[in-house]
Amino acid sequence: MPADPGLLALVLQAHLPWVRHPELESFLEEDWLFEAITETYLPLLDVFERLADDGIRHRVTISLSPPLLNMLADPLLQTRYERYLEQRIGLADREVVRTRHDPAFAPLARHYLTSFRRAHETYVGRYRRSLIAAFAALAGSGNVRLMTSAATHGCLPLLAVNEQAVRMQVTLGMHEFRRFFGRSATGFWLPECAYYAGLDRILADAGVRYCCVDTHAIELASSPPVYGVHAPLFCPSGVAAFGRDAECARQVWSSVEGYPGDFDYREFYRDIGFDLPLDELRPFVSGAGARTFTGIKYYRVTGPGDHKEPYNPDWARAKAELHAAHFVESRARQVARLRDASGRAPLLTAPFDAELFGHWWYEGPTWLDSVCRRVAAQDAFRLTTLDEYLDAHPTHQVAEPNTSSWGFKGYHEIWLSDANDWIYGHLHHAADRMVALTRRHRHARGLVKRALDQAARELLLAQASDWAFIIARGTVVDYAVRRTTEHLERFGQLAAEIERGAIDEVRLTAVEAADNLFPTIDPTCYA
Amino acid sequence: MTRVPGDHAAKVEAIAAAERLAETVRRHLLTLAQASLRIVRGLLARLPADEPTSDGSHAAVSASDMPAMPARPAAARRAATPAADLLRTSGRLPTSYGSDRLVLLARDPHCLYAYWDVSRARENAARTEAGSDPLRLVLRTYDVTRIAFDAEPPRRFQDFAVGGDAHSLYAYVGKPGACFVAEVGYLRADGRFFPLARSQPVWTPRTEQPGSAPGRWMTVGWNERRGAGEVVPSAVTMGTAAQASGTRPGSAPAPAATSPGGASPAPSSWQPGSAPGAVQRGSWSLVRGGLASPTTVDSPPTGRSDR
Repeated sequence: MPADPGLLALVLQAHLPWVRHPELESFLEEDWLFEAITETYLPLLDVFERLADDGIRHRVTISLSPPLLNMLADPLLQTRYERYLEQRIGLADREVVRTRHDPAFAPLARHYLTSFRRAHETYVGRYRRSLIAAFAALAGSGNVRLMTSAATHGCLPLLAVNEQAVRMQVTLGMHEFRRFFGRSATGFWLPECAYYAGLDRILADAGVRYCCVDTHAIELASSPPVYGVHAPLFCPSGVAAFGRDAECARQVWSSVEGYPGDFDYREFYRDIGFDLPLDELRPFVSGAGARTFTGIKYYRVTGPGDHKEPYNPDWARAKAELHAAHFVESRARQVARLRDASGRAPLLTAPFDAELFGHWWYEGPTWLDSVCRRVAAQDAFRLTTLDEYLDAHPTHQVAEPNTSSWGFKGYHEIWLSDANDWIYGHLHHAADRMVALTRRHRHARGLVKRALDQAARELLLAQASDWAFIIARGTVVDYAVRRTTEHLERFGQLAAEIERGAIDEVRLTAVEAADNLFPTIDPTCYA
Repeated sequence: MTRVPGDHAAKVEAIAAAERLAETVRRHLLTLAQASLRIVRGLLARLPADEPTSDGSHAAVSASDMPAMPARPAAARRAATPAADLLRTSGRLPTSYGSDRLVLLARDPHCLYAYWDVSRARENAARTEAGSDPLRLVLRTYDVTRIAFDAEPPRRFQDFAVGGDAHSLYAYVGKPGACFVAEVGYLRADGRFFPLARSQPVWTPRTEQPGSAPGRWMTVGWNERRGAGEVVPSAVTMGTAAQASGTRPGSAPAPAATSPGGASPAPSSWQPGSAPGAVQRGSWSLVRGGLASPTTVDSPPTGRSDR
């Protein structure tokens, strides 16, 4: 048997759009960040720290998107997150009293109270509010490798009409990683796994070593991939493209046979935020009167219908272990099958949205922990990071991956449809205008420089693929439409003021304070 | 000098009046800003208490005595701040930028999305040229995969009728892996075409493997530079599959592959089959790397009888 019988690269991409609203005292959409910290980022840090403490060899590659990093580092959001946790502790405290005579719910209420208190203690006491430092410390151990992503998660193929717009998304993504971690990123998570022919040149120019693409980007590459998706391809520029392994993906993601839909797992949609009378909730939730998720959920998936039974954490934990064992055994069989066919150690690249683990799939972190422990305890295959893999395997086939994404049907239909196609004319026009402005004011100083910087921030925020996605899915459409138009309008105002030579400094100051990400942005990248 | 928002708010009850006041204040402050930056800074210092932001600037985020903002969708609403007023936008974007532009985006292997923004002047010029005959607006797509689109348009094309006042269209060209250019313009009854704008070229994604030769191989070495922690590419070499095969165990790239067309294909069992779809789940509807299509992977244990 070869030294490496086979390798599995787990890739978690963590991203949320920029949701920061200092103009109001509380804002419902900021809860997206707070829920993700509580349910995903803290539990994942806990999993990887415990694995390290227990001396379990593990490897995972984690992408932290620039908007997420900027939010995690923001003092206002940090303060508001603490307030969020305090509210949740208060709510769980009250739930312990309310459910004290209910044998099914009382232990769950106590579980949530303990969880929120622990999150508070970890966030404030242990991490001193800096999750970025916690991730940096993890990366220092060698078990975890961090990568970056596009500046605001723009769907790059749909921005490529203006090459500078793509260059800015890539260059600023690399810049922000350096700003937060003090070193260059080597990996670049392509938002939506979306690749187009020629993108690799821009990635290479920015110093990117590798990216991830979807399965068919490799399968339909310009030359037939000798090892399928089980080895990376080098794009013509030398950037490595790792293709998603479809079997790994389906086992976890599939709506039909994926693990998260198991009947024993916690039901996401039954939350006391929607079950209890609003008056009882009001003191404990953000916002004024709007129902929202509280994170306190008492039911399990139970079945396909509306009838739900109480959640049983012991059953759920046992099922997560069972699914972890199944996943590891399936990978061992897959690796053996692939190796027998080729005589070569295959690489399985398995990228997932980080927020799947814990937020949507409550037992996801338990599953991940168990997978890492079980892989370490067997020798059919090992875990690796994408950097570690390239260090050990520097020679690969050269081909141009196919234009593709990991969205519905594998291309761009989600982000370009009847519901959201109106966005692109505005985005493209704004990018052209930004390029012209930057060329005209290449050496701008003072107020003009500030206005140019902010115009670039507004353009980038409007380019986030999250808005088109939300509009297409029909969820919080008003908010996504508002965010798109708001940033485009602010961009337009600033561009007009720069062109006129009459900048409204008061408004500029207010906009800078609201959209205060990318403090060291350099718009000359557009020139 | 004293017309900062907080000073007047107590006297203003109606929201509309507050908005007008804020606009007046903003104009006033802008005038002052243009006159003297120093004076404006003095004014800014009078704004209500600041809260530090991550980039070290100061944001006016505290509660204020300004009236609350009108209802905003999907947002929790409590006391608005002066910043909220300054941040207000109309929610309206221009319907045209007068750019005389046509843009093509490849939505998928079979379908292009075209949008255009043509000025009235350009339309009028084309209409004048076309004369008084009835005209139809069409999107004309040209497959330019193997030809250059210079001054003279290719002879073969597909026309897509544009309905009503539409400024965009999904064109089902049905040709994966091809390069297209489009023009939007008026079609006269005699078949003559009067273009208004021409697009940039765009490629549709492939749906089939374009070739059988595995082509080149490459070695990219990266060295971790100690101290600076920078990672830089240290060596890039290129070669054929045969040259590279010595570095890899196994027999998959056949030694015969010394020239294009000479390689053995990859084992078919390595190629997972169906193209992925997606299923989206999660409260923010931002979890998206999903798959919907049934597959041949091992079924997970359901464990319905395990307790």
